Amino acid sequence: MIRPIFALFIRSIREDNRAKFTPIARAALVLVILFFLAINHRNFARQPAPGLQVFFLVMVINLFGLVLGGITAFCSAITEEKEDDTLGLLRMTNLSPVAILFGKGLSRFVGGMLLIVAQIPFSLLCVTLGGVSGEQILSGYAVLIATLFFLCNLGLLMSVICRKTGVAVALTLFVGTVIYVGGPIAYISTLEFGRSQPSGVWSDVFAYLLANNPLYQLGTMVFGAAGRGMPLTVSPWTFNGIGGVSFFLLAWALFGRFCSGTAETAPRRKKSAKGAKLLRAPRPDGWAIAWKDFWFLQGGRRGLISRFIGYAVLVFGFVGLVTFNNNYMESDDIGEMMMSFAGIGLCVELVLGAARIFGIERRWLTLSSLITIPIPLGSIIRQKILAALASLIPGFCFVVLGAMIAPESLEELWRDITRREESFLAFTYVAIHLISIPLLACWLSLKMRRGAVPATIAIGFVGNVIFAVLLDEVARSSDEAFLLLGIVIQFFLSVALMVSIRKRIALAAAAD
Amino acid sequence: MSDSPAIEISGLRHAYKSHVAVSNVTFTVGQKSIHGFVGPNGAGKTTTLKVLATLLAPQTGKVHVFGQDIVRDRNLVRRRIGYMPDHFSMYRQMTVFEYLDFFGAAYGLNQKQRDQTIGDVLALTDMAGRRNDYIQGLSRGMQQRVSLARVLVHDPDLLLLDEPASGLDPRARIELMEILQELRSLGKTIFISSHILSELATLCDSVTILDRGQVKYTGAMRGLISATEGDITGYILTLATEHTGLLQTLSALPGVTAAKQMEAGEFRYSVQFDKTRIGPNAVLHAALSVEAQIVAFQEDVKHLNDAFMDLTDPGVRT
Repeated sequence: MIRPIFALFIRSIREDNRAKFTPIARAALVLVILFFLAINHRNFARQPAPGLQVFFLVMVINLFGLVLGGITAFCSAITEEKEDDTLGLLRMTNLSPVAILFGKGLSRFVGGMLLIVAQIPFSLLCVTLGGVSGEQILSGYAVLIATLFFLCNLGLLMSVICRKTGVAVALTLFVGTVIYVGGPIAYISTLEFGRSQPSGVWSDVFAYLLANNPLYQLGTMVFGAAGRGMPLTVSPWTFNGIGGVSFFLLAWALFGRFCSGTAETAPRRKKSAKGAKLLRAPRPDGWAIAWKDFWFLQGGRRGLISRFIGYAVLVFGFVGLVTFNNNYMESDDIGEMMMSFAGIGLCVELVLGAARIFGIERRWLTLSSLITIPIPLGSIIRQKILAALASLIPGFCFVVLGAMIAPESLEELWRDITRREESFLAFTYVAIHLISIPLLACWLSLKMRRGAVPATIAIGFVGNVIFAVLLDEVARSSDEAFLLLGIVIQFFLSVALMVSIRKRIALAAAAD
Repeated sequence: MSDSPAIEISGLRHAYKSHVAVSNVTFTVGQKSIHGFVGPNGAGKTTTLKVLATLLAPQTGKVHVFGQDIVRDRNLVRRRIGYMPDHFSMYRQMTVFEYLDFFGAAYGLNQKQRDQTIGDVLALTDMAGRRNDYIQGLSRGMQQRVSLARVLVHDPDLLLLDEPASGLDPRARIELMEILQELRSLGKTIFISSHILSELATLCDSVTILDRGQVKYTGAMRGLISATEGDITGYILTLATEHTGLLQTLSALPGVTAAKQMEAGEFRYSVQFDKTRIGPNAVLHAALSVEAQIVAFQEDVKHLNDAFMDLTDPGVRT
């Protein structure tokens, strides 16, 4: 009974031991901690409680990495078997559904936990810098592990329900956001836009969700309970533990329903109604690769409509939430919020799209067929970029709409950029990320089969945190020069990535 | 079409870091023929095919397809080849028609040409009835047919097929071979790799055997057997009844290296002789001279697999 349950777990641990990425990731996390310790050690005498600040920063980075890396890893637990058509083989063995779920989920949870636990001895060095106790450090890591447990099981559930990893990730992100971020945003929005303290059942629910937000828990644990009537922190294990176990039990219950079917017979295209025909792909013409990517990778017109609806739900949902709490939003507030939400959405879509344009071809092993088409590689890349950009139209429309509603904010930003050198450099530094980060995502997608997006975001985030710390610590009197250096580095990095991507496409096609 | 060979490889070498995949590979393939490319697993077949498909550049050596250099004239070569890899590389969320239509458009065919060609290749591969089916739901054999249809959609002169029959059931294999024979009759040159020589025996005009990255034999399929024989040849003599003294008579002939009864209780005898010193007629005459009741006297044709085993080394390449 016990042996089958642990068979998959042991296999995963062995694979993890052989993987190159695991020790690199652990070493990278430890190096980040040591970097922050070294930087803060210089300011030991100048800052109050430097150890506390370093520890909080390390916790935030961990939480960020955990959400990104964790979700991708957990959501592929069962979907990777479905995508490779190996789930049927697993089910033919002596493994029961619970053994499969346990083996696939536990190995990922343990892998993530080891990644976190490996940092504890180094994080304890923060005690020597002052301002934080060993107990606080251990409590911080307990929050991380509890959150990991919750996300692991949520991802596992979505992995059981969905056939594709991408859909499972999207659903996990949605549910996770609603649980972890939606409540706090709703609670804080009632405080920000409200004329009085929130009350009623909904406010209690929002307050409870806020109290279980890991970032809030870390904040209150490290810096003490916040003011303005914020709820006190609660034990991370109650909410995350019960939630995680519930998701696991639900995954077990639904396993038979969602993991037994296989596509044995060829489905024919159904005769569609006139309206549905408009959503179907027309015949391709000169730009065949752009056509293929737009209709079959980006979802075509159906994808555009879904994105429009997604942005509309996000923006109008938030406005509705505020209005629901008897508050009023100025049109400028709505415009700014629309620009912010759509801008963030566009950035996310940009990274996702960049990781997919060649990543998907690589996963489907279609690069070799694509590359042997007698079209120059540059033209293939341009057509693929064009299709990816077309999918950004809905997000872009919402940014433009926001700018039309609140033109003053845009004018103010423009005035700031054109008049202040520092603002111009800061804006350029952020803007160049819109090129370098998608390029990094595209490059990583050609290096690794899964997890290019979280790896990109993690590298971008850690890189920028390190840059910000250096900016703060090293270049106190010359921010402009340091920002310029950052822009130059990003520029050369982008050029290097562009050159490397061309080479990697050819290599990946040959390796198919 | 020029008179250049369809494929001309000379001194090809390709290594992955320290592992030499192919070394000094040299052979030619004539136009409008089916050429088998055979070797055990890890022999370097796929690497050679990837070089021919312009996916890998040769590190040393020259490779020409219809007289065009695969590095310098890459796009011209790509127009004339159709490469089918050893795995299913398909956009499975498309229907069969959409998939072929996409590749047709990518190769620059207009809608009218595509309609015509897609109809033809679907008829050839017997997939016309499945044109509106989603690829993801098709069986392995059907997906293989769609792959082949995709390779044909731009009407290439040379087909590069990497183990196209792997994973297919016997019926699907036979049907695939029939399609390939039909394609040869349409003037296509087919370069087909396999690790099973006997599978290609009846199909191919010529063959190249590769082992551990080196060419062991290249030439006509028929010549493969004689190439492994040397000067010694074998015949089987079948009698109606047992004959004592026959073996002694045959063994005494000049040039006969071995004469033995094949199975105890059976009247079949194996005779091996040096064909430069004695002919089969002399052997038959000697048997008749001792009044043996001969039922049959035939050449002991070596099986293709024996030839393959003789040419390739045992064990797995390290």
